[in-house]
Amino acid sequence: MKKLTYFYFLSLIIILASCKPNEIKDIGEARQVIKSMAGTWSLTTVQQVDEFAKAQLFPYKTLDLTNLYAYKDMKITFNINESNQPTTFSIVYGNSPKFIKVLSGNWTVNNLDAPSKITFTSGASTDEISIGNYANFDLNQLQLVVKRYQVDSKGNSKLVLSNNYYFKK
Amino acid sequence: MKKVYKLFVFAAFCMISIHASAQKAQVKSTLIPGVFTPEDEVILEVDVAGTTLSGKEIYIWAFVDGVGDSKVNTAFNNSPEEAKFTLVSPDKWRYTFTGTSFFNKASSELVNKPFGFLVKTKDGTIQSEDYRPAKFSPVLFVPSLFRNFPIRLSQYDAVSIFLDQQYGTTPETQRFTPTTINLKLFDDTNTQVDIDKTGLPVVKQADGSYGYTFIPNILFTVPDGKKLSKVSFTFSGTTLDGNGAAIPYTSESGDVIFLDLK
Repeated sequence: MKKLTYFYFLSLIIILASCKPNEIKDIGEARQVIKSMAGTWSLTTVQQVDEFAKAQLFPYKTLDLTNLYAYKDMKITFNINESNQPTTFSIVYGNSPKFIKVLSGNWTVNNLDAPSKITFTSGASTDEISIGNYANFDLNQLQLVVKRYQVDSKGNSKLVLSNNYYFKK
Repeated sequence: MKKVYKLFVFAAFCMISIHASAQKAQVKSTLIPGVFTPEDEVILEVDVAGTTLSGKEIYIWAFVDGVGDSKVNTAFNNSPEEAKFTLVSPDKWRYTFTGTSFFNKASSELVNKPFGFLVKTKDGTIQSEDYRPAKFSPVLFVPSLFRNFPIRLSQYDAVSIFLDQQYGTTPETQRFTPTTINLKLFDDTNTQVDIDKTGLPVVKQADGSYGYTFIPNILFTVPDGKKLSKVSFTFSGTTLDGNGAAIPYTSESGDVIFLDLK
């Protein structure tokens, strides 16, 4: 019995001695989304996501539309100022379907540090589009999303469709 | 002779009266959304202007054929207040319901069954015709002859229409070789927009499965601001007759409903 107590005590000492505080590494500088967006982007892929089917666990959730029309003709340029804030933009569609109504003007975002929506403005005309996954910037890719919501009489909205546009620089 | 004449006039008068009382109001109605499951909230809007129900307070009498009546179908000559429409503007009324609770049925009992209704006065002395504007959509995926992708879309989105012959209900539909699709576009007053688009080549997806993808505003000439309600379609191709000769065949028709998405 005395030997067993000695064994437990020794085990406890070893366990405590092996404990080391985890080193929390620096996560680096915050991602500068606006700066990452600056430049001219070419549309490479168009994908429809049936969000209703996803939520209901139906099959047939996505469909690639890239080759349906001349989507790859489309280019968008985002300009920023020295303070990394959005300024002007321009869009060249070529023969691509137009999914942003405003062709040139100013662009703004809903949050400069972590934007999720872009508003395009030209005079009285405005249009809005969502920014997709930030991780795409690591692949030198930009994802813009046109989201469609179904709204009931109480004003509750449910996402039922996403049209995803993937760009490369 | 005079008596016979009087009898004839009386009979004619009776016939006209019976015909007049039997005539039912034809109301305009819209379901929002146009595609809905038994668990979705649905708004039924009706316009009774120019009908015998004009200027009257109106009530719903709802039913699903083969399933049963709604919970507000109590007595036809004395509808309860829960069945009363809400006035939106003169002669335009609105009623909101959710299939499962309105009919007190499980989703599975309502899926693929048509929602039916008529509009009436509280005492039922004036009523509309019966309407069955749409079926309840499945809550779970049910394979069928026609399928559209995405399931819920607006008139501005790309739509893909697929034919899967293994779910055809006739031997001809199961056996024919589809080569083209024919499309007809309608606005929110059910008036055709642009001309029919016929002979559009379909793409084979797999054995017995064919599809076609388009954006309505690009394929058709749609005036700015025109609200679209649906596109109707049929698939065409050939099948073999009793002598083995190829003859043209066109499938039954289907619809894709455009929703007012935000």
